[in-house]
Amino acid sequence: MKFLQAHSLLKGFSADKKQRLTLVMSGQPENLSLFLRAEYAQRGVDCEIATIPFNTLHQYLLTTQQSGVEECFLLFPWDFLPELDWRSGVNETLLAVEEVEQRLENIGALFQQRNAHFFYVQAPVLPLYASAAENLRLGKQLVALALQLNAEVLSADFFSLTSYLNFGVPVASNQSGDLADIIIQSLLTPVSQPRKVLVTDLDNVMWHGVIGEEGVAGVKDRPEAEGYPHFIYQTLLRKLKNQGVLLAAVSKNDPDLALAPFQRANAVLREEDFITVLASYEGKAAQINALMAQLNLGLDACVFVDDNPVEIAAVTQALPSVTCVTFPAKVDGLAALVAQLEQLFSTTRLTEEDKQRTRLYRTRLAGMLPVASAEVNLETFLRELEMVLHIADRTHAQQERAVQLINKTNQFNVNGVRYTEAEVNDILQQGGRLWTASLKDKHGDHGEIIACLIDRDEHIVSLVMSCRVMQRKVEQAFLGWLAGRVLTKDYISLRYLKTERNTPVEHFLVAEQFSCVDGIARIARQDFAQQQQTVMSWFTLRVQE
Amino acid sequence: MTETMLENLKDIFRFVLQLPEDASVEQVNQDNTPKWDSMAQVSLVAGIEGEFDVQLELSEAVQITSFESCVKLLEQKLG
Repeated sequence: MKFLQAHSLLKGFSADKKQRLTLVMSGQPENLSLFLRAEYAQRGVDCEIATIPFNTLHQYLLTTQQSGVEECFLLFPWDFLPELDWRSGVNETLLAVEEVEQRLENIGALFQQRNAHFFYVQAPVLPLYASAAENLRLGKQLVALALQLNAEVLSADFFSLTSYLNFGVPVASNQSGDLADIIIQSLLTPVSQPRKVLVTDLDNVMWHGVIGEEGVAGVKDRPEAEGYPHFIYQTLLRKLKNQGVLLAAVSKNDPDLALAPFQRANAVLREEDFITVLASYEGKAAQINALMAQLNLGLDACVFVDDNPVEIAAVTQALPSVTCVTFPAKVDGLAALVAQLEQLFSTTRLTEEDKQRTRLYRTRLAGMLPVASAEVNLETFLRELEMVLHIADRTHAQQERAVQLINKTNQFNVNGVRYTEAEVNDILQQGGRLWTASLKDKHGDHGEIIACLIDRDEHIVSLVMSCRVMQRKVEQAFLGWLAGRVLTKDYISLRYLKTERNTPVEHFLVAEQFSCVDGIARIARQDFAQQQQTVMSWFTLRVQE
Repeated sequence: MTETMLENLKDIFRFVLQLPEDASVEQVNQDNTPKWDSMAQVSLVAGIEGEFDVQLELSEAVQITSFESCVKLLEQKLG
């Protein structure tokens, strides 16, 4: 916003919504005050701004704060230590470090007494000590002091030495509009409370790898190679837990598998470090919602960490109050993740109760019913994913990925039977068929994620789906299409065998009301095809025969 | 200095010196304008700097004693 625009906005402006604000700064405040009022006006608020006379900030600090009036402090380094002020010239007396630190502590305590919004401009300062290193350290000390006040720290670009020396106006005229915008945005944002609960995904977050596929021995979370970021993440969670943050895990896995890594002798995090480990194939949003209700905490107290953008998007959409954090795909993103979590859970006081909190909540949850699994608006979410299912006939070519999928998938695998390429070819040469499906959505391409091998008698002898795309009803859409377009018999027949790992298949068969007799899961073909029409409408189906 | 800039400069003078919207500002100077005090001088400089994205040194700022002198100064600064 520029000067004339600010004036135009304020010309004759009046609104029912009123605000009273005191802008406290040691320099001339008039120009910034104009822009602040204009920024408020732009947001429909009629703001009355009081200011203090030039260079009277310290006196103001000794007055009692007025009730019903917001205070906004715009601080510069010399507001903490007047010797740093350009307008006074370089101080002749050499001050002792201890004396300066004591004075900083005193002035910091005075600021702390105000219930106010603080902004700190990191303006350059005059030297105070003989040692350049000490002067540098002082600069950092001032920033730390500002941060203790929860101040928003602003760059030196907002300061103009020319304007300050000539007119006592420390804010650069061409930056006043931007500065006012930053201040108002901050003033209008409710002060966020530290979060209390961290809900974390497991696979590729707590460890590298998918435990349902690679087993407890195959996942990596030690301080070496691919395990390193996950080791660091676990140690961060351990620290957060010790400062009173409640940890919960939510994972699409079998419960025994999800817990296994936390039961190893050398585990950084133990099972008892979590208030609960929710392992099921239900939607995460529903599980988080139910968990927070059981804990009797608002959703805004919760932070959810996952590596999968689809899970992040689903939780964001279903539970907008939950803060969602993406676990980085690359190690370079780890520092930002650590900083973000540190900020979200930042606390200044640590009580004995904080340290015991996990134990208290574990006890509390133990007496409750399991987390309810009602899905939160799944249909809306899936429709908005803009999923494209590309179905391909691989009977005659390009079978490698299908064979690979059949041989490495554990969770959504109807029977766990492995087939070599030769065995697959044998079935195909006898009149069988091999189909695959690839999935794309608005977040990206998931590649070939389903393989389905059908023998000449139309028995589905293998049906596998990558765990990457579970909870999207892809299996329903694919089988629905197959039932309507490829299969011809009265019944769909799947060769089903319960394995240690294929619980998701069991859930699917039960939900779709397949009957299981003698290792064959069956359902009337046309009824099934009909039932899947709605789910199929959530996908754009493309077929390559 | 373009016509638009000249009009904007007139508006800055009217706003800061609290002159009527249709007031002619070409003849305005420190002596004939009671509202033109030291604070108004600061506001004028801030307005000019903010609106035209220029920075005025103290020696330049003190040259602004009338609308006419301000136009001359800006013509020199902005080329």
